[in-house]
Amino acid sequence: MPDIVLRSNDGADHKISASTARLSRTVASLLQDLEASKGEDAELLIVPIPNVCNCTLKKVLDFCEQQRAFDDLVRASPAAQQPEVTRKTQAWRETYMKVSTDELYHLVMAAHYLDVPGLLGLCTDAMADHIRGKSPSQVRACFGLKPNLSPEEEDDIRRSNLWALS
Amino acid sequence: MELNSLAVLPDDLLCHIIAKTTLHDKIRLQLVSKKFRALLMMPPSGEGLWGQCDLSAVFSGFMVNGNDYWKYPQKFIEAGVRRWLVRRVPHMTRICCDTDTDEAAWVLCGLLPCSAPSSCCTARRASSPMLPCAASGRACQTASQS
Repeated sequence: MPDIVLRSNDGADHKISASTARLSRTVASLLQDLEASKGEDAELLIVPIPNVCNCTLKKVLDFCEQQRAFDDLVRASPAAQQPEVTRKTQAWRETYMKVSTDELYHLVMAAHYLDVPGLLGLCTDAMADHIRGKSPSQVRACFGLKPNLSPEEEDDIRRSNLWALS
Repeated sequence: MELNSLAVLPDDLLCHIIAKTTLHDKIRLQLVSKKFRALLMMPPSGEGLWGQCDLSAVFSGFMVNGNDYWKYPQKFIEAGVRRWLVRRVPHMTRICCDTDTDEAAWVLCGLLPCSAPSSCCTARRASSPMLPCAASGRACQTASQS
């Protein structure tokens, strides 16, 4: 099995295991192409990740490493210990997601581009927290959007959803 | 954040996020902008932009446990939720309701497996015409009845 290196868009290299790399569907697909073009004897596969900076890529790979470790632990643990493993996983994820909103934005974009389902789920949960319970104007402020519905459209929405908007 | 940057999130990613909000949030989001309204008016049918989302998340606002819309008078909610759903999910024809607890477990039959307890719908069987749920095989009330 060749060494796998992911190269961020600012040129930083991260050496990772194949099992960790394949947690990203995008990387898994790129690896397939590389393996096909370089042959099975290649000793090193460098995968450029053009849309992700070093700092964010490192954070994504932290998640993938941890995810792989937890998956291994779940497989190796007897059923009685599964709740404890799950609890530890959740605790780790809560700590992991304590990021600034700016980091969260870069992380969700990276998770989306790299197609890491577990991380995408975590990030979209966190993003949804920014929306929950907020008024339309608060959401607009949060998303940097300008109101562009006509008064008639707004009226129509309000009339159709009186039960929820009153 | 500079949360301003969220304005440029790709639509499918935005759908992933919207999917995880409650029913009330989804309705309020229609008032945010044309883009949000357009996304929310699309039937989340398992294809297109919503296709990558977990359907149970898409419908989480309707589905159970702790959602604030249960605080509203039940009849009012039933009519509102059904109207809202039927308009947005044209192929949806039936909804299950766990009448034992008189809350929770609205299920879009045929899209999601019925998660209601085994008593799903039985309380209404005597008073309402029932059809079998496409997902669970249990009886359901037709959406058009409300």
